[in-house]
Amino acid sequence: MQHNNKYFAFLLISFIAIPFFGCKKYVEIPPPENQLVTENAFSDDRTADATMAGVYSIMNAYNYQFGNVLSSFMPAFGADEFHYAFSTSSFDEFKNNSLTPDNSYIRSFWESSYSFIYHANAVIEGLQKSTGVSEAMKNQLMGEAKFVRGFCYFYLANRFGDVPLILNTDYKVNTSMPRTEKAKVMDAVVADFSDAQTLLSDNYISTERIRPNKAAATTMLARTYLFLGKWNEAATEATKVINNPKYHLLDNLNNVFLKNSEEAIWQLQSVNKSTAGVNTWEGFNLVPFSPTGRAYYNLYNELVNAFEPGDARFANWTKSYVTGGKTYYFPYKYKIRTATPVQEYTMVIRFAELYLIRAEALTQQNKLDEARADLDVIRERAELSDLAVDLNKDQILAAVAQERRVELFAEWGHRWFDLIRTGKAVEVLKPIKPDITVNDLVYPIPRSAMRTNPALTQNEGYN
Amino acid sequence: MPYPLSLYWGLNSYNFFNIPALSFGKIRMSYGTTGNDQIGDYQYLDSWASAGFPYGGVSGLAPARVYNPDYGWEVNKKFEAAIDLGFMDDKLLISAGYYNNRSSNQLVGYTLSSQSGFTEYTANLPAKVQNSGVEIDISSTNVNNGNFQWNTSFNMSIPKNKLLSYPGLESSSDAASYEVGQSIRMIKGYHFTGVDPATGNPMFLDVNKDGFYTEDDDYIVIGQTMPKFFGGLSNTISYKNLTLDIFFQFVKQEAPLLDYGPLVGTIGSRINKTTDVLGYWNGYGEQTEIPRPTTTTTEDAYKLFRNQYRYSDAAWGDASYIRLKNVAISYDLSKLTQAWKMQGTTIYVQGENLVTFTKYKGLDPEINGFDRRFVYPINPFGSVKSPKLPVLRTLTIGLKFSL
Repeated sequence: MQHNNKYFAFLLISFIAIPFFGCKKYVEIPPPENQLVTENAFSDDRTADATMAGVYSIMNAYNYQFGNVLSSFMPAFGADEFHYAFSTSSFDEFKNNSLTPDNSYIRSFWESSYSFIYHANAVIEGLQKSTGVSEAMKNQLMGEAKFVRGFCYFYLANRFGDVPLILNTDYKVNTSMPRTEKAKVMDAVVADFSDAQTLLSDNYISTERIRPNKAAATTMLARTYLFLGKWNEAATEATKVINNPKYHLLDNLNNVFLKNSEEAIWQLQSVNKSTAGVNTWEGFNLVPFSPTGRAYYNLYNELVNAFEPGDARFANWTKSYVTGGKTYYFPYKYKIRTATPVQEYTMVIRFAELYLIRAEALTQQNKLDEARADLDVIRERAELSDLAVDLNKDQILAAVAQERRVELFAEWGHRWFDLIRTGKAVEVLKPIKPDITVNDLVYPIPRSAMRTNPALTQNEGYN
Repeated sequence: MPYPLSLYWGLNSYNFFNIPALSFGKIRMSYGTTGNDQIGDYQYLDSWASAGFPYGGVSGLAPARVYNPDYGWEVNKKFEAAIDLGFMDDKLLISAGYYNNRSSNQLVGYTLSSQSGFTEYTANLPAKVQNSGVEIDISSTNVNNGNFQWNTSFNMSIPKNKLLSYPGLESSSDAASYEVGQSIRMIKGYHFTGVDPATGNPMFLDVNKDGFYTEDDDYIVIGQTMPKFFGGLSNTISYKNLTLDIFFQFVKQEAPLLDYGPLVGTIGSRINKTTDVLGYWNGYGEQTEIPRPTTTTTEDAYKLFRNQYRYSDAAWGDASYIRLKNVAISYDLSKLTQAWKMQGTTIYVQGENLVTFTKYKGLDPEINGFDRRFVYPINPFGSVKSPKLPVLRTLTIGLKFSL
């Protein structure tokens, strides 16, 4: 009977309630007090600025993130730069070019890239609707958002090939979007960097070099044109930055990776507070605990041997230790494992690359003397002699590849992407990675992404 | 809005059947439609939240939630029918019920593909899901004569689940997880067909015979995460001041074995496995069910283990068990302690989880192993358990006073 009474009460309440639910006008509900909704986030310059600052903070907040190890270590393992001194399967899969779609770093790279893309798209849409943000701030943030979006797609397309090209926040449509041809994704990358170049100003928004400016967009545009084989455009864009008085090659190689160094075009600030004294996560991983201790990551002998005798970069940017009677080397561009106050920031884009971009683009256009001059700028800083004046086109292209290898090693996968785009990856890597095939040059689409979007297809050679 | 309706009919008042042994009878039935208000406020609005650490002196913001204007009530239609019968002056009570709940428009953390920027959002799932089942309760007073009493009770549930409809399932993020007509608690995977004696590599059913093992083409239903039935049997026997309670629990179910899920290392890697792996393939021609050990990422054995074996029915199996959940012996000392003005004094010994009968090759069948949270497909209907301690075997000796 108890049971029955309860239902009767319900019955009664429901009949009483019906007339009230039937009222004609909806109640107006005010926005929440303890949550920041999009409309409010773009109501003034200060909060709008915070929406972009959030991207960089997340990129570099912890170890193994998009802004640090994920982007600089994994492709270095896959190429012939350095490798983990011990064995762990998710690292070994990169080292042995035997990735599986379950690899947690592959998944992390995919997911974080698309999360930044959503973030950038949300900023773009928020700014478009905003009336409270000043014109100058709007241009700056719109430029940064497009830069970040282009930057993510640049790496996505070069790692995975065709990827879904998502340019808005319509998640209901985007969640089941199929892959877009790599060429079209790269077109979008060019468009984003071009827009960013127009929108951003020469000056940095802050006193530090930690937010992208016009030169950052121009450098990425030059690099993208280089990857696309658009030599004239690549050289033109590179020249714009090379002529910019804000940037210099530093004579002292040991100062290049310091925070706000004059060679820095874009750095990521150290934001982490979880591990005491971290300057860069790269340095935290690469530099041993004690000055004479063993390192966790060793350079491949192939890279060690690639340095010409007397190359100052070998003396300053690598370091050795001896164990079991054998000498091992590790990358030593970042010199700090932990230290306070912070002296080093993660270098994302730096000035030296522009000479190398232009040298290659000029060579391809048969402007050999000019190309050689650019390479010599880099070589002189490394205390090496100038290139012989009678080198032919192929020889200069080989010199470009060599110079890129020893100048940009351990930074953002330059070597891995260079080997792939020049068609040399399998041939060069085969001696140390006997199982490598062309399929391994494109990463597998993560299993989690495949499972949640039936429209995605897997890359060849993976299942 | 709820529209409940409830009816009951007491048989005894009519003496309808006129069965002498029948001492009590009741039929009840209810039907109702309910919503659910266990959801947060403002979940339809897109919002921004702190991005964690300040960057360049600016406290950054990051998107916290997507905008979802199509946000509505979920609808649960609940039907229940039961019969309660008492025999021989209610010494034997039997209650049997059937329920059928149909949920539609459920508000769940709906899966998004990560390319959308988020991996889920709170939304109304277009699916209609049916949970139905039978529940039986029997209790009897076997003996009741002054000094000696013996009571038995038994209960059992047989739950069933079925996805009735899901418009647009094929192109949704749930396409790999559900099939209309199947339980939403089904598990898909590869069908393990044995170890190739020549290579030691595991082999699987290649459903479409294209020479490759792919999820899209070669997955079959390998099991269910929902128990087939479960219940308990309890006996209480007392003689004078001595009381004995015995409670057995039983579950018929399937579960992931130790080798199931994306975190499992290959055979040969430095992780714990069952002793079955000692029978691994050890050379050309050997017939075994355990693949060749390997830690080399370039070998087929490695890839087949990581991509197929640990998502196959080789790593899925029976996890049914019968467990002696509770035994308690107590002795009432009240009469002895009355002189000291203490009303109730009992001394007791109690044991929990003393014996388990199971063929499960995993950790504890009651929590289905630590890997349960990686059961694929991860189920939005709340069956996913987080890793926790297996149930403990405990023994308690106690003395209870009441003043």
